[in-house]
Amino acid sequence: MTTIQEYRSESESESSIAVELRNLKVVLGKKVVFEDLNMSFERGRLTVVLGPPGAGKTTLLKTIAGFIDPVEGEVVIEGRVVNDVPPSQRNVSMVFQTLALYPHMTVYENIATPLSTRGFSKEEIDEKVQSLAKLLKITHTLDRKPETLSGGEYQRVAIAKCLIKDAQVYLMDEPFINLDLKIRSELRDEIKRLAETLKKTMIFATPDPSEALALGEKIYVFMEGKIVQFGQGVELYKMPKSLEVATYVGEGLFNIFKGEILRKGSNVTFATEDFSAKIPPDILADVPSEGKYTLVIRPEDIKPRRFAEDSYEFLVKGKVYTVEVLGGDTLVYYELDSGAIVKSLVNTIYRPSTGVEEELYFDPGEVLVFNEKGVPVMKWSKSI
Amino acid sequence: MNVKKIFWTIIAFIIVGIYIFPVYWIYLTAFKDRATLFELPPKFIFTPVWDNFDELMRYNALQAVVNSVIVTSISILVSLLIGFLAAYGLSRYKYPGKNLMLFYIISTRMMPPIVFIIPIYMMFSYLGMKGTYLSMILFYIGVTLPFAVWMSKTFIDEISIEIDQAAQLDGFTTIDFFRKILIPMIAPGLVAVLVFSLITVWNEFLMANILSDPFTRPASVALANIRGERGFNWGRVAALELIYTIPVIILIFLIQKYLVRGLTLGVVR
Amino acid sequence: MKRKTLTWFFVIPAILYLFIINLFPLLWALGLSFFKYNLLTERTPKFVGVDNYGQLFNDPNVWLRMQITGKFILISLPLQFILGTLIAFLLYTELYGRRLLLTLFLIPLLIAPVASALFFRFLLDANFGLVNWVLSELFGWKIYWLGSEKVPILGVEYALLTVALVETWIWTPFITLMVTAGLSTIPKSVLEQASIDNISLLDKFRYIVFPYIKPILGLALILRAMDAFKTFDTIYVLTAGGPGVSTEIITFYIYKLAFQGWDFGSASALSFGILVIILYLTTIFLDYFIFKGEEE
Repeated sequence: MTTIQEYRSESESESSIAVELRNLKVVLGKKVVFEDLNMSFERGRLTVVLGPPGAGKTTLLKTIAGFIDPVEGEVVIEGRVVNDVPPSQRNVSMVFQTLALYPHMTVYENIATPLSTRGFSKEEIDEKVQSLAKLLKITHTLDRKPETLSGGEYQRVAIAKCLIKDAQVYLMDEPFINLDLKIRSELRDEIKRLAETLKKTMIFATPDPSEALALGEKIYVFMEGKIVQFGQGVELYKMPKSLEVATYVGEGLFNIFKGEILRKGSNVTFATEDFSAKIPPDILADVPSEGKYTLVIRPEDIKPRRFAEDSYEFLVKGKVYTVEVLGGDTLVYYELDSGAIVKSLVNTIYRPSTGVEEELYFDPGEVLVFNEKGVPVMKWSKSI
Repeated sequence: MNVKKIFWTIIAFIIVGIYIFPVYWIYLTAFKDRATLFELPPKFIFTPVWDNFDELMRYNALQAVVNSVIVTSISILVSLLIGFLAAYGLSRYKYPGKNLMLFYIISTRMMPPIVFIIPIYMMFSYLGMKGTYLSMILFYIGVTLPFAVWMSKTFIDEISIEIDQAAQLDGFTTIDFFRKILIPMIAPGLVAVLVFSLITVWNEFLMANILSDPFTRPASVALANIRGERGFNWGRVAALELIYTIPVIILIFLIQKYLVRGLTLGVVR
Repeated sequence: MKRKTLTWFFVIPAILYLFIINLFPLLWALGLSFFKYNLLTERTPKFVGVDNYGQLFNDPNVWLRMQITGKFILISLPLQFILGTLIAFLLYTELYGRRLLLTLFLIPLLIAPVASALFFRFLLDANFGLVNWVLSELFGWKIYWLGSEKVPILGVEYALLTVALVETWIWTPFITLMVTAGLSTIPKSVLEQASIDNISLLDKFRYIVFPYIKPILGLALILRAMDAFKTFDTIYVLTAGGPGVSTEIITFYIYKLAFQGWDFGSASALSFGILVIILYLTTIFLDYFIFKGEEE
């Protein structure tokens, strides 16, 4: 059973906010991208803005940077209202989605531009470029042109260029899209490391929930221009505020069942055409009325019999559909009678043959129940 | 397969060769002396001489070419400058009536020049500018500007606006941004715009004929009226034509890559 | 200053300039067309409303020039298109040096029409021109290319034919360019499918090639039809409208009206009339091609 207390970190005080958005309304063309938006970003920390494509993340970042003017509301950076301040004077640095390196300059010159245009001495510039290049492991590329770089190197150069100048806030707009998984996780760790060592205020936008969770910082879940949840990655994962958030963060991994809740005395049962599961009432907020509900079970909370813990209860029988080995774990897909697919994460390498029927067990304390409106009816949802 | 390819290559070169024969023939003629000029059967093989070119210089016939150079170079450069700036604005930002502006720019291609000759003539007459370089230059800027705007815009459109934004964050002033970032990135395209404008102005005849006087007339006017000149001689005409047309031929080989793009957006004549 | 407002100032000069050099003269010409203004006879222009237009409409001179223009277009346009398309197909086959060939082929289009006209004036000279020499050696012909004799079958003066041919020589490469551009839009997979299916050449053209080049051909047709009215340089150099008035297409006539007859009023009216015709042609063709396109 989870409680809020486990996951809430120390509370924030007003004075540690570096960037604040107040009642912000931004319109692009005819579309209202967001309105009445209030967000705050802690100084010296990396905050993630997570959201599907089209949610408005880029617009958000560009509004903070000053390329888009809000119709209403204020953008406040380090206590200063910057609505009328042009981007070049906002003390902001950014990695763009398209990376925007200058193709006709060398990598060295690219990284140096934020400083060389501002009159820093040659020695100072060289010192900073070299140390950043070392930090990001791109020293060997300094004399080359951007087009000759590999995807990962290109990204690192863009990041170096962003970090070289002293800014009050660093914005990163989906800097890792189009890179393969291995490079992505390398760069992610790089960013985490940099965030911790440099202690700069960073805002990182990404559409990838696993990336957001892996960065391990505070995350704003941003959908269709609204903040639907804010908290640590773990909070989002274990205590999603809505079915929408759960589906998004669970991105295809969570098992989502639509069905009904039936009550018999004090027993609460969730039923679909495939199974009936007993829900322990103490994880629910109130005694739910009967009706349509959605049940979400995470793959690591469903296991075939031989891997099930004692506290697990029987769920349903399923036939092995396919198997995916992920590092040291295995994701096994089971097909139910109705054709529905159940995903189970086993913490070892496990290769059952296709078509084999197994009994699946689940951890009843870890399920999530949402009502028809997508609102969670869990005990913890009361205090969110 | 290979033989077939070579076969068609040869056929194609023969056909194209025959097609552009008239150009070649005149170039040949430019090097013939008085006697060989009118010989029948016409000679293909002969000893080339520079006589005609010498005579051109003696008769000061090259003044016309100089005029062409002056008028052309100034108008295309000014046109590109104004056009590039406008193209930048139109590419990056939404203005009220932007589509109207673009439409207006394209529609100028449709206009037959004949509609303009009288008002332009009257305008420059009233201003006392008949026969000046300036009148031709001002007119030609107007002729090449729409194309310069349109073409430049297509090149600027290809550059992501995030480059502009990165440059803003990097602390570049707008002018420095143009000088150090944007223009270097689209330089070949701008060269192509210049070349197309150059060809347009260099070849133009009608308005130049009306606006220039015997001292300022460009080569197109000189050549068109050459039949009535004193001492008219086909050899010298051929030499002058060679000097007049070679620069354009060299230039189109230089911008081969952009020929299709420029010409299909509307032939600029 | 905000970037956006600054760039507005970048756009203004161009707009203003075009207004002064393009729009303003156009309106002036329109205005002039409503006046009787002949520099030789009238001191001051006299407002006559649409009289000029009325007179021109009834003027046999004007109709004669329109006829000549019509004959000119009827000869040069089909010729350009057929020749241009054929050469485009030739260049589309598998061969080496395609780009070089196309660039060479574009030379006639891109050098000055004045120069091209002079090239042909030399080549087609009745007495010492190369063409006549070849013809006389082969067939014993001597053709006065710029004369008023009528061409057999076509029934137009040789002079008009020559002008049409020179214009064709200049503009065929444009058609080739357009068709080549159109051909390049045919996806490779379609072509490969066609060669596998082994269909006849004619069908190949009708069903595979034609749909892709049709829009381009349409555009080229509109452009060339409008451009045909602009033909001037070649006529000035080759024939100066003659012999007689046999090569005076309508725009040449306007020029003569304005700068030999100094009748600014009528010339303006006539040029505006032509403008209207051109615009009308454009709309017809646009309709046809948009409408037809939607049908399919």
